[in-house]
Amino acid sequence: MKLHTGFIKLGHLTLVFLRTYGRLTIMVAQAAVALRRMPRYFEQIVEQYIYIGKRSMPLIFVASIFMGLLMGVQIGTQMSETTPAWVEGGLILRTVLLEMGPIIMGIVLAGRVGSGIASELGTMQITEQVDALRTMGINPIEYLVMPRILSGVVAFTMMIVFFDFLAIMASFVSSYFTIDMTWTGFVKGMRHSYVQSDVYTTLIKASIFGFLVTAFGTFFGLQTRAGAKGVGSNTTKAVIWASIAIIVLDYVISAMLYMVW
Amino acid sequence: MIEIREIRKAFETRVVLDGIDLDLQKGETLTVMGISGCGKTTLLKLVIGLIGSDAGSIKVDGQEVTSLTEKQFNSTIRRRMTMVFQQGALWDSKTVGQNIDLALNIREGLSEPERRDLIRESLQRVSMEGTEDMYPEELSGGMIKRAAIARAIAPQPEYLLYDEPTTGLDPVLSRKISDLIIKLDEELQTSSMVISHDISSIPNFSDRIAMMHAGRIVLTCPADQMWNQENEVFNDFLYGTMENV
Repeated sequence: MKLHTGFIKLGHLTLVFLRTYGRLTIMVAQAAVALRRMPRYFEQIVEQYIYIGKRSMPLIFVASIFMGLLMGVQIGTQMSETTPAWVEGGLILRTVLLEMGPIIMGIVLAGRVGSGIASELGTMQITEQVDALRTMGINPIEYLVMPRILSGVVAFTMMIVFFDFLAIMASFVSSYFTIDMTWTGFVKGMRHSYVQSDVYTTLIKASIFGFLVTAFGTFFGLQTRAGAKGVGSNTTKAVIWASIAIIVLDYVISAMLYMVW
Repeated sequence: MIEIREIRKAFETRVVLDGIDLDLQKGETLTVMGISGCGKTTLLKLVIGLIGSDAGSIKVDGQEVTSLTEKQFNSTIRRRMTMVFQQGALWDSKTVGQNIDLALNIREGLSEPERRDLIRESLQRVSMEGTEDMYPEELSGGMIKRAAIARAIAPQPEYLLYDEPTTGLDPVLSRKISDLIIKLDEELQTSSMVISHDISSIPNFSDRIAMMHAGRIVLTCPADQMWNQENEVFNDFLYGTMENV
């Protein structure tokens, strides 16, 4: 009996998963089609870009600096005595560019940007503002979804540069205090390990994570029903689904890019 | 004229509309009454194409609308029909003027001065001159309703759908909104379908009333005769004695 109930629950969860991804795919496809009307919604795109930037920058500032400080301490203190100190610069550079930068920024902003978008659109949905938009002949996908996703992709790709830079600088500062790292040694390590494709990797990952955060935010926002409780629960879903997708896709992208490069 | 025939709509297993037959004549104001949750708002949303029906027919000036796509709805029906939502549904990130301007999107080819004139004129009609730059959060409940009406009349529609325009207002404001509906119907010659529970005001602004119950229209009659009906369901509703609600 318990096994039977378990199978029913598993089947139900599978259906929910497939239904959610099916609907999300349709919405994203519609948003892609809506890109052709981009000039008409230029104002909304710029507005969303500024909104995402304003919401994210203070958080990015704090997260990148403390992540960098932490990396400087951990990597510096765990290197063996026989390893030259300058190696740390390269290790930090590649770790930040390939993994820590995109994934930390993605997850932190899933909580900030994704939740903001989901709760805003969720409130619009339950107060019939989205319906009102449709009666005025405005397509919510073109007016609400496409500008947010597009701005998210562009903003995340630009913000990762800022995030990586601050994290690397903070790593140097913390290495300087923990293992007496010199700036010359740190730069030497970075030059020694620098690979051009790492920069592309960080940009590609940031843009994909920007897409995931905004796509899940808009999707769960527009799916909101059942009043304030629905807004809360869908906002949480947007953050959780985006965070899981970021973690899973981070591995997939890394493995694929490793094979390509 | 709007002709609704045998319209059915269910949400999963719950049947909300079970064969609605109703007409809205040109120039008339028809008020649809019924207990909360009986499907009145669903009916309005079906007429303006916000949701699709499961079966039945809705014709607007002879044109079947149940099979129209969103794009076709925009280019035909929504140019002539607007809706006033229950809580106003004003965009809170935009000013009153910007909200009305957004509604003018449905009318293509308007110049900037024409849009400005229409915004000013519609606000004047609802006695809200000078509020173009105010945000919805700065407005009172009654002003939000009036701003929502201004937004709905700005594109100069032939049909106006009102979803509980007086709900949540005190009797004085409620009366003002009712007077406004009468005034707008006279001035703009619109045909209006109103969802309302405001029994004292309904005879003032309505030409005809319809009672919805258990997914069907159980009574239609001239508004001035609503107190003389023998329909048991309708009387139970009027006097608040309806059971199994």
